[in-house]
Amino acid sequence: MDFDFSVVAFGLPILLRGLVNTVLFCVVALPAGLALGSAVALLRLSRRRIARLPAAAFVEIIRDTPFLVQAFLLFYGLPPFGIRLSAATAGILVLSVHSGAYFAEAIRGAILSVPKGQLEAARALGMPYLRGMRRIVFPQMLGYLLPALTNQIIGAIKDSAVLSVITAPELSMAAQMVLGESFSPVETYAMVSVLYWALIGAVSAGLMRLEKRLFRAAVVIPRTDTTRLPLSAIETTAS
Amino acid sequence: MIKVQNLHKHFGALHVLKGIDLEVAAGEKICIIGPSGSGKSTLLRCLNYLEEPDEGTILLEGAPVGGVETPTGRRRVSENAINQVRASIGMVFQNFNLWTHMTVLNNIIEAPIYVRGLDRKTAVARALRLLDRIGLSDKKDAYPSQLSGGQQQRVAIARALAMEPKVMLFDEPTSSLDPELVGDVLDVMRTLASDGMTMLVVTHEMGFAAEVADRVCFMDLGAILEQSSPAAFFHGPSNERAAQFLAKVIGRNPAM
Repeated sequence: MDFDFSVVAFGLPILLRGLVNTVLFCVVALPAGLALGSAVALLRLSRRRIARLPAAAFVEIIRDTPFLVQAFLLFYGLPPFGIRLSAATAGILVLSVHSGAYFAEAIRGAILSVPKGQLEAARALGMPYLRGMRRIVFPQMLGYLLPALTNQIIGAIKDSAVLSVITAPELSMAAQMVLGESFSPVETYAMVSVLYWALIGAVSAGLMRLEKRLFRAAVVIPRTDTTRLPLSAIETTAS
Repeated sequence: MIKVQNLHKHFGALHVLKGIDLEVAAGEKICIIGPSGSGKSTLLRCLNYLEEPDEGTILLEGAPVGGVETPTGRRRVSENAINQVRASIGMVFQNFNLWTHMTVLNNIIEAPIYVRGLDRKTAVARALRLLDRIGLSDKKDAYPSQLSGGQQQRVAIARALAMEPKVMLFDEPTSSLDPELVGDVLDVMRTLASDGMTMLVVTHEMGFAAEVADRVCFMDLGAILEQSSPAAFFHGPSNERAAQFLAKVIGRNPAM
């Protein structure tokens, strides 16, 4: 089979516009999802049931229903109630909420992996809970969080392809337009996969570098077990 | 300075503190000893409200810590009041709990700046003075993971002292240290004691208790069974269980 390069010339500009929109959707939806996820994670760790239960219910409902169904429900389910969202707005909203549920679980896990004594020491010195979380727990949890978060972020970018079903003008939607004009599925989707790969590859490489830097900055070594200190540390602290 | 009345604490079905009464005068050093599971640590952790008692009152210089008993039931004081009272109670943990992502200096100045509202310069000057006092000036830029356990615990003491607390609580401060590192930490605590700090120390270091304490409290099964001077306590406690405990501990430490 021959690869028809005329499809590239015709389709690539359309696909690139779609890619820009995909990036824009993610740039808005993922930080929103992270904010939502952080709040939900904190609520799930609250000692008050009234805060814990709704947060847990939110996570379960969102995680246990398909993203595709959520997108349809939000886009077609709201107009009867007089709320009319553009496909792009609805898409960003549903992507934020969906990724938020997954981020919440990753963040909760990372918070729990910071030893309890770290926050306790802050509280014992009179530090308010939220300040202790921000100054002591969050910086330490990043090392645990990033590997899990990288997975969720990549997943969320790929999930954004589903938004084509509600006609959100992103990369996969652009692919359908190119396909409708060119009737060349192989060329079209070959270009689409290269574009997704380039975007996600760049994001994942960036996150990987961040992870390495954080890991170097905050290597967590068991504090009472000197046998597991790096050799250099043993040499300088022999007492 | 501290007054504890009828303190009760349950962990589920377990009744860990069964009506503790305790008064501590300013400048007094009290060592709390007893077998593990006797409620020593829980009592200490109730004193700064890291554990919430189920019943009873704790007063620090007349101000309620955490909760107050009212005729209509127990009432929690405001979060702000809890934080304020905690800021004036220093706590030293068995596992040090130094913040692993911060240098020694930043560990010490964090709370003075963010809780007391001290400016950075004053906080740093105070931290350097304290580091000098514990003999670790050269470690100010080290991370906790680069220090030995004994050094970490001394930094943890300095971190608590930087808040200029009215009282210091020590929760088995030497229990997770290698034997040869215990001495340095105890030395710092001795200096602190001779400076007149009010101290409550949960410890298994009988030598330290005998030397430094004004009063020894023996706890078992959630109650204080004996309170006496170290001389009286170590030369024959009147309580039978205290005597048994002492016999076991001293049997293991013939040097005592």
